Amino acid sequence: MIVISDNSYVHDNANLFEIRNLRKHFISRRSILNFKSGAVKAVDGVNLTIRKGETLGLVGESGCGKSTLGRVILRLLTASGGTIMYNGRNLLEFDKKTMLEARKHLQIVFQDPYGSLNPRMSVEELVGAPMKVFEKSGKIQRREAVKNILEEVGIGAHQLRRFPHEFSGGQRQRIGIARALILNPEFVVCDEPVSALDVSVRAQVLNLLRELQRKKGLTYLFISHDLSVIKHISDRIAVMYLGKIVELCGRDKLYESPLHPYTKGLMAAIPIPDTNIKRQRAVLLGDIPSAFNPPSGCNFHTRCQLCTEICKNEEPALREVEPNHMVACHMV
Amino acid sequence: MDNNGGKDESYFLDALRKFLNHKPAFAGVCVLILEILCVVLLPIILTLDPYTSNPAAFGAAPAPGHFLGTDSIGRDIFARVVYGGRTSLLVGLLSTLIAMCLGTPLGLLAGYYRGWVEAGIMRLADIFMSFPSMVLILVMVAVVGPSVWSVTIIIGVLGWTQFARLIHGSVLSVREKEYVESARAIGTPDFVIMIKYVLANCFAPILIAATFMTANAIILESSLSFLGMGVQPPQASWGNLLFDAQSLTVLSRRPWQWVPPGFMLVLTVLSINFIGDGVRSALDPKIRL
Repeated sequence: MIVISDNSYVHDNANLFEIRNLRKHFISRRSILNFKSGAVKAVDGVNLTIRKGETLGLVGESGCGKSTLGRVILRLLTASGGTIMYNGRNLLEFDKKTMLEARKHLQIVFQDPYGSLNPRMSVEELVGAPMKVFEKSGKIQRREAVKNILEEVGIGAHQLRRFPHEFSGGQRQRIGIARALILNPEFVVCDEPVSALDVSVRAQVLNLLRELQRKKGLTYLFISHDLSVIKHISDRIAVMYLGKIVELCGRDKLYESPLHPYTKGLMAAIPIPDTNIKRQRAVLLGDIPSAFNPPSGCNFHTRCQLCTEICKNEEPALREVEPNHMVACHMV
Repeated sequence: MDNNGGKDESYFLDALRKFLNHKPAFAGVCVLILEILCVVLLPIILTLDPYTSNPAAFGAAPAPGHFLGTDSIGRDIFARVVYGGRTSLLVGLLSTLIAMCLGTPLGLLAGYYRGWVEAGIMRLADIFMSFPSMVLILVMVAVVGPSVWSVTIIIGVLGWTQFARLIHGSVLSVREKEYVESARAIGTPDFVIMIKYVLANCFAPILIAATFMTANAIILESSLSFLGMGVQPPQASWGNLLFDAQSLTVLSRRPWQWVPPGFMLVLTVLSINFIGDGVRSALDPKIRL
């Protein structure tokens, strides 16, 4: 996999997002007769800052709430509590009109290149759709803009009239990226944008995302469960477990010296293509517990080798143990 | 449509090609077009008189002059079958249109907004469907009074539940698609999402339901007319031509009186059902022809 790994872009450390105690609980009522209801705590008290111009990688197992977090930040799902300070204002308190205005700057690239493009719309309509919503621009202007952005993502202008089903997965994802970028947003949530793609196409799309970031000064929240993808694209990485951030630090530090036992387990699970290297196996035992009924105290204590009494009773806070290295663990 | 001439062309051409490759459907379309041309044009070209009785020929067998014979009071059967076709096809198509116009928006709203909108609309549909439809139609026709228009409107209005339930079901699956979320992410207004993203992808079930509903409506009208509660004589419909077949003598001795309208009825309903099958396979992307 050839990937440009250049992390020199970060030139400004101002925070674009400051997320405090963000929660998203899905309420479920079990049946009509049984009114006892519960909540799936998909996102449960997340604290996170996203800096301007960086790529923040968000990594975690399936079902840990990564995608939900991304959608709550864009208000595609309604948050259950907490604050999202966006350029100094709480995004969750935006009224309909302000939010619509903000959507111009906040975009998303979806995971599934087959499901995220309306099969009844041509490439021109798909990519031009955001412009149609926001700018009362004419058809000719719109077509020009669509052509330009398509060229930037590597789709020829002669394909304007084609439909999604006529493209391959990688091309479709490029179309999805073009749609997200046509209004020149400042923040893009990339929700596993390459996990549905062929390995050979993956690197191309990752490089494209990187290149566009550099050209347009974008900020990414890059969600993935793939540690190698995250390593290539991220400047900083947040590790998520059962709705909470357990570790947050710079990329190199995370891969060289992870502190949280869960992160250590993830790192140990990366396959090493060398049979001579012996490594510690099976650090992560068992499955991720249900978010419907999360464990008491530290969420991770059921699978943790360092578990002690305090872990079972008290929830650890995310604290800065080294400069720019946040960990939520009693034992660190 | 503003800027998507190319889109319609390619999508519909593709569907059309697949549709025409479906042989029964192609035959169905030919038969139906031929029928419509006949019932529209024949009365203009030929001098057909479905109302005047010929006192010289009561219940006469096919012969020159009355090439399908005459009915019990001497009216020309051929003329009545042609005029009856006008009525029956009109009732079938128009009542389907009414049902579609009522049911589609209701099903769309119910599926898109969920919550109490959905509960209200879908429970109403359940109430409508819990009555035996034939009995309900008979009662309503009895109240309003039987005529072509009352039968059309009643069949149409009572047919909304089929469309609403079908659209509701497909909207439920389509609204969870990522492309609907992507539309929301760019701030697309609700009604645009409903039409361009949701309804546009529920097109196939609507069309399929429409064909089957048309066939059904033609049969319903015929049943009503057969029972004397539909189109009233002297106006002809295929159903009330069959009314004559209630008499055993006609049934056994004068087949020319009931075979032609019966045959037309079966042919039409069969054609429409074949068209429905063809539409289904043409619009279903999983079937590649």
